[in-house]
Amino acid sequence: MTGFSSWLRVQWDRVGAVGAALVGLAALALGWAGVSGTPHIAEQLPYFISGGLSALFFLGMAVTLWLSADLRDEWRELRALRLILGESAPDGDRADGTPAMSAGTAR
Amino acid sequence: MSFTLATVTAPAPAPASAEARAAFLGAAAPWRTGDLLRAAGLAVAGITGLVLAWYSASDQPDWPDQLPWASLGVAATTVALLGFVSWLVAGLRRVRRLRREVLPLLQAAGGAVPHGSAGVAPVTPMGTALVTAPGMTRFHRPACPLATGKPVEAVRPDEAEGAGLVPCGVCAA
Repeated sequence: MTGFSSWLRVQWDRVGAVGAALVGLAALALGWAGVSGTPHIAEQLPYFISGGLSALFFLGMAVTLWLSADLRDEWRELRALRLILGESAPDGDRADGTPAMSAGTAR
Repeated sequence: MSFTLATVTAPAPAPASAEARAAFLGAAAPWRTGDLLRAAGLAVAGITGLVLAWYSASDQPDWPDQLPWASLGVAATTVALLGFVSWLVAGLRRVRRLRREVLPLLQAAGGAVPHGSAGVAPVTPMGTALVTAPGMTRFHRPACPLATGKPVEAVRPDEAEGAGLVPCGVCAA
Protein backbone atom coordinates (compact mmCIF):
# COMPACT_ATOMS: atom_id res chain seq x y z
CA MET A 1 0.00 0.00 0.00
CA THR A 2 2.86 2.31 0.83
CA GLY A 3 4.42 1.57 -2.50
CA PHE A 4 1.18 2.33 -4.27
CA SER A 5 0.63 5.61 -2.45
CA SER A 6 4.24 6.54 -3.16
CA TRP A 7 3.70 5.74 -6.81
CA LEU A 8 0.53 7.83 -6.82
CA ARG A 9 2.41 10.75 -5.30
CA VAL A 10 5.22 10.54 -7.80
CA GLN A 11 3.00 9.98 -10.82
CA TRP A 12 0.18 12.28 -9.73
CA ASP A 13 0.11 14.07 -13.07
CA ARG A 14 -0.31 10.91 -15.09
CA VAL A 15 -2.94 9.65 -12.66
CA GLY A 16 -4.67 13.00 -13.00
CA ALA A 17 -4.49 12.72 -16.77
CA VAL A 18 -6.22 9.36 -16.70
CA GLY A 19 -8.81 10.71 -14.28
CA ALA A 20 -9.49 13.77 -16.42
CA ALA A 21 -9.79 11.58 -19.51
CA LEU A 22 -12.32 9.37 -17.75
CA VAL A 23 -14.31 12.41 -16.63
CA GLY A 24 -14.21 13.76 -20.18
CA LEU A 25 -15.41 10.49 -21.66
CA ALA A 26 -18.16 10.27 -19.06
CA ALA A 27 -19.27 13.83 -19.86
CA LEU A 28 -19.28 12.97 -23.54
CA ALA A 29 -21.39 9.87 -22.97
CA LEU A 30 -23.82 11.70 -20.70
CA GLY A 31 -24.11 14.55 -23.19
CA TRP A 32 -24.78 12.15 -26.00
CA ALA A 33 -27.40 10.33 -23.94
CA GLY A 34 -29.09 13.60 -23.08
CA VAL A 35 -29.12 14.89 -26.64
CA SER A 36 -30.37 11.64 -28.10
CA GLY A 37 -33.15 11.47 -25.53
CA THR A 38 -35.08 14.47 -26.77
CA PRO A 39 -36.14 15.75 -30.20
CA HIS A 40 -36.26 19.39 -29.07
CA ILE A 41 -33.29 21.56 -29.89
CA ALA A 42 -33.97 23.75 -26.86
CA GLU A 43 -33.43 20.70 -24.66
CA GLN A 44 -30.41 19.49 -26.61
CA LEU A 45 -28.29 22.64 -26.51
CA PRO A 46 -27.73 22.59 -22.72
CA TYR A 47 -26.50 19.00 -23.09
CA PHE A 48 -24.19 20.11 -25.88
CA ILE A 49 -22.69 22.72 -23.55
CA SER A 50 -22.52 20.67 -20.38
CA GLY A 51 -21.60 17.40 -22.07
CA GLY A 52 -19.76 18.12 -25.29
CA LEU A 53 -17.86 21.26 -24.37
CA SER A 54 -17.06 20.03 -20.85
CA ALA A 55 -15.74 16.84 -22.38
CA LEU A 56 -13.44 18.90 -24.61
CA PHE A 57 -12.19 20.77 -21.56
CA PHE A 58 -11.43 17.64 -19.57
CA LEU A 59 -9.88 15.79 -22.49
CA GLY A 60 -7.68 18.82 -23.14
CA MET A 61 -6.70 18.80 -19.50
CA ALA A 62 -5.85 15.10 -19.72
CA VAL A 63 -3.61 15.61 -22.74
CA THR A 64 -1.92 18.58 -21.07
CA LEU A 65 -1.23 16.66 -17.87
CA TRP A 66 0.19 13.68 -19.69
CA LEU A 67 2.43 15.70 -21.99
CA SER A 68 3.62 17.93 -19.16
CA ALA A 69 4.58 14.80 -17.20
CA ASP A 70 6.70 13.71 -20.16
CA LEU A 71 8.26 17.16 -20.40
CA ARG A 72 9.05 17.16 -16.70
CA ASP A 73 10.74 13.76 -16.97
CA GLU A 74 12.80 14.91 -19.92
CA TRP A 75 13.77 18.08 -18.09
CA ARG A 76 14.89 16.08 -15.06
CA GLU A 77 16.99 13.70 -17.14
CA LEU A 78 18.63 16.54 -19.06
CA ARG A 79 19.44 18.36 -15.85
CA ALA A 80 20.92 15.23 -14.32
CA LEU A 81 23.01 14.74 -17.41
CA ARG A 82 24.20 18.32 -17.35
CA LEU A 83 25.17 17.89 -13.72
CA ILE A 84 27.07 14.71 -14.53
CA LEU A 85 28.92 16.40 -17.33
CA GLY A 86 30.02 19.12 -14.97
CA GLU A 87 28.22 21.96 -16.61
CA SER A 88 27.38 24.73 -14.16
CA ALA A 89 26.41 27.63 -16.39
CA PRO A 90 22.78 27.02 -17.31
CA ASP A 91 21.87 29.86 -19.65
CA GLY A 92 18.34 28.53 -19.90
CA ASP A 93 17.73 29.03 -16.20
CA ARG A 94 19.47 32.35 -16.10
CA ALA A 95 17.36 33.70 -18.91
CA ASP A 96 14.32 33.20 -16.71
CA GLY A 97 15.84 34.79 -13.68
CA THR A 98 16.16 31.57 -11.74
CA PRO A 99 19.29 30.52 -9.96
CA ALA A 100 21.82 28.34 -11.70
CA MET A 101 21.63 24.65 -10.95
CA SER A 102 24.04 23.17 -8.48
CA ALA A 103 24.46 19.77 -6.95
CA GLY A 104 22.47 20.91 -3.94
CA THR A 105 19.42 21.89 -5.93
CA ALA A 106 19.26 18.95 -8.26
CA ARG A 107 16.54 16.46 -7.41
CA MET B 1 -6.73 23.39 -12.31
CA SER B 2 -6.93 23.07 -8.54
CA PHE B 3 -4.56 20.12 -8.76
CA THR B 4 -1.86 22.42 -10.02
CA LEU B 5 -2.44 25.06 -7.42
CA ALA B 6 -2.42 22.47 -4.67
CA THR B 7 0.96 21.33 -5.89
CA VAL B 8 2.34 24.80 -5.73
CA THR B 9 1.19 25.48 -2.21
CA ALA B 10 2.02 22.07 -0.80
CA PRO B 11 4.48 20.21 -3.00
CA ALA B 12 4.84 16.54 -2.31
CA PRO B 13 8.24 15.57 -0.97
CA ALA B 14 10.49 14.09 -3.60
CA PRO B 15 10.80 10.32 -3.20
CA ALA B 16 14.23 9.06 -2.36
CA SER B 17 14.24 6.62 -5.25
CA ALA B 18 16.75 6.95 -8.04
CA GLU B 19 13.98 7.97 -10.41
CA ALA B 20 12.61 10.71 -8.17
CA ARG B 21 10.87 13.32 -10.25
CA ALA B 22 11.49 17.01 -10.20
CA ALA B 23 9.34 19.62 -8.52
CA PHE B 24 6.60 21.16 -10.58
CA LEU B 25 7.83 24.75 -10.64
CA GLY B 26 11.14 26.53 -10.33
CA ALA B 27 14.59 25.67 -11.54
CA ALA B 28 13.95 21.94 -11.17
CA ALA B 29 11.08 22.00 -13.67
CA PRO B 30 10.58 23.63 -17.06
CA TRP B 31 7.88 26.00 -15.80
CA ARG B 32 7.88 29.25 -13.90
CA THR B 33 5.23 30.87 -11.75
CA GLY B 34 4.18 33.14 -14.61
CA ASP B 35 3.46 30.11 -16.80
CA LEU B 36 1.25 28.65 -14.10
CA LEU B 37 -0.62 31.90 -13.53
CA ARG B 38 -1.27 32.36 -17.23
CA ALA B 39 -2.39 28.79 -17.84
CA ALA B 40 -4.47 28.54 -14.69
CA GLY B 41 -6.03 31.95 -15.32
CA LEU B 42 -7.13 31.01 -18.82
CA ALA B 43 -8.39 27.61 -17.68
CA VAL B 44 -10.39 29.07 -14.80
CA ALA B 45 -11.81 31.78 -17.07
CA GLY B 46 -12.77 29.10 -19.56
CA ILE B 47 -14.47 26.80 -17.09
CA THR B 48 -16.27 29.77 -15.52
CA GLY B 49 -17.58 30.82 -18.90
CA LEU B 50 -18.62 27.26 -19.61
CA VAL B 51 -20.63 27.01 -16.40
CA LEU B 52 -22.19 30.41 -17.04
CA ALA B 53 -23.11 29.42 -20.59
CA TRP B 54 -24.68 26.16 -19.48
CA TYR B 55 -26.58 27.80 -16.62
CA SER B 56 -27.88 30.62 -18.79
CA ALA B 57 -28.81 28.42 -21.74
CA SER B 58 -30.76 26.10 -19.48
CA ASP B 59 -32.95 29.03 -18.45
CA GLN B 60 -34.04 29.81 -22.01
CA PRO B 61 -37.12 27.97 -23.33
CA ASP B 62 -36.41 28.67 -27.04
CA TRP B 63 -33.31 27.51 -28.86
CA PRO B 64 -32.71 30.81 -30.73
CA ASP B 65 -32.30 32.41 -27.32
CA GLN B 66 -29.87 29.68 -26.33
CA LEU B 67 -27.56 30.12 -29.29
CA PRO B 68 -25.65 33.12 -27.89
CA TRP B 69 -24.95 31.14 -24.74
CA ALA B 70 -23.83 28.16 -26.77
CA SER B 71 -21.45 30.48 -28.60
CA LEU B 72 -20.16 31.70 -25.27
CA GLY B 73 -19.59 28.08 -24.28
CA VAL B 74 -17.53 27.43 -27.40
CA ALA B 75 -15.50 30.58 -26.81
CA ALA B 76 -14.93 29.69 -23.16
CA THR B 77 -13.74 26.21 -24.10
CA THR B 78 -11.35 27.72 -26.62
CA VAL B 79 -9.94 30.04 -23.96
CA ALA B 80 -9.38 27.13 -21.59
CA LEU B 81 -7.68 25.07 -24.27
CA LEU B 82 -5.45 28.03 -25.10
CA GLY B 83 -4.39 28.02 -21.46
CA PHE B 84 -3.42 24.37 -21.71
CA VAL B 85 -1.53 24.98 -24.93
CA SER B 86 0.34 27.92 -23.42
CA TRP B 87 1.48 25.68 -20.56
CA LEU B 88 2.76 23.02 -22.92
CA VAL B 89 4.47 25.47 -25.23
CA ALA B 90 6.28 27.14 -22.32
CA GLY B 91 7.54 23.77 -21.07
CA LEU B 92 8.49 22.60 -24.53
CA ARG B 93 10.51 25.73 -25.25
CA ARG B 94 12.53 25.44 -22.05
CA VAL B 95 13.14 21.73 -22.54
CA ARG B 96 14.35 22.42 -26.07
CA ARG B 97 16.67 25.13 -24.79
CA LEU B 98 18.13 22.81 -22.17
CA ARG B 99 18.52 20.07 -24.77
CA ARG B 100 20.51 22.45 -26.96
CA GLU B 101 22.81 23.07 -23.99
CA VAL B 102 23.30 19.43 -23.13
CA LEU B 103 23.76 17.88 -26.54
CA PRO B 104 27.09 19.63 -27.26
CA LEU B 105 28.32 18.56 -23.84
CA LEU B 106 27.37 15.00 -24.65
CA GLN B 107 29.19 15.19 -27.94
CA ALA B 108 32.25 16.64 -26.26
CA ALA B 109 32.18 13.87 -23.69
CA GLY B 110 31.94 11.26 -26.42
CA GLY B 111 28.57 10.01 -25.26
CA ALA B 112 25.52 9.06 -27.21
CA VAL B 113 22.87 11.44 -28.41
CA PRO B 114 19.23 10.60 -29.10
CA HIS B 115 18.09 9.53 -32.51
CA GLY B 116 16.54 12.18 -34.68
CA SER B 117 18.20 15.16 -33.03
CA ALA B 118 18.95 17.83 -35.57
CA GLY B 119 22.53 18.84 -36.10
CA VAL B 120 24.18 16.27 -33.85
CA ALA B 121 26.59 13.45 -34.46
CA PRO B 122 25.43 9.89 -35.09
CA VAL B 123 24.73 7.67 -32.12
CA THR B 124 27.77 6.09 -30.54
CA PRO B 125 27.22 2.45 -29.59
CA MET B 126 27.21 1.99 -25.81
CA GLY B 127 26.62 -1.75 -25.66
CA THR B 128 23.72 -3.93 -26.69
CA ALA B 129 22.49 -4.98 -23.25
CA LEU B 130 19.80 -3.02 -21.47
CA VAL B 131 19.34 -2.35 -17.78
CA THR B 132 16.73 -0.93 -15.46
CA ALA B 133 16.13 -0.70 -11.73
CA PRO B 134 13.08 -0.97 -9.49
CA GLY B 135 11.12 2.26 -9.61
CA MET B 136 12.51 3.35 -12.96
CA THR B 137 10.12 4.16 -15.78
CA ARG B 138 12.78 3.78 -18.49
CA PHE B 139 15.41 1.31 -19.54
CA HIS B 140 18.96 2.31 -20.29
CA ARG B 141 22.19 1.09 -21.79
CA PRO B 142 24.64 -0.05 -19.10
CA ALA B 143 26.98 2.86 -19.78
CA CYS B 144 24.21 5.45 -19.64
CA PRO B 145 25.09 8.24 -17.20
CA LEU B 146 21.60 8.02 -15.73
CA ALA B 147 22.09 4.35 -14.86
CA THR B 148 25.62 4.66 -13.50
CA GLY B 149 25.85 3.95 -9.79
CA LYS B 150 22.29 2.69 -9.51
CA PRO B 151 21.23 -0.85 -8.56
CA VAL B 152 20.36 -1.83 -12.10
CA GLU B 153 19.49 -5.26 -13.41
CA ALA B 154 19.76 -6.58 -16.94
CA VAL B 155 16.52 -6.67 -18.87
CA ARG B 156 15.60 -7.85 -22.34
CA PRO B 157 13.92 -5.36 -24.68
CA ASP B 158 10.73 -7.40 -24.89
CA GLU B 159 10.60 -7.71 -21.10
CA ALA B 160 11.15 -3.98 -20.67
CA GLU B 161 8.46 -3.03 -23.12
CA GLY B 162 6.14 -5.62 -21.63
CA ALA B 163 6.65 -4.03 -18.23
CA GLY B 164 5.63 -0.65 -19.61
CA LEU B 165 9.15 0.82 -19.59
CA VAL B 166 10.14 3.27 -22.30
CA PRO B 167 13.60 3.80 -23.81
CA CYS B 168 15.86 6.36 -22.21
CA GLY B 169 16.13 9.46 -24.35
CA VAL B 170 19.69 10.17 -23.23
CA CYS B 171 21.47 6.94 -24.12
CA ALA B 172 19.06 6.13 -26.96
CA ALA B 173 18.47 2.65 -25.54
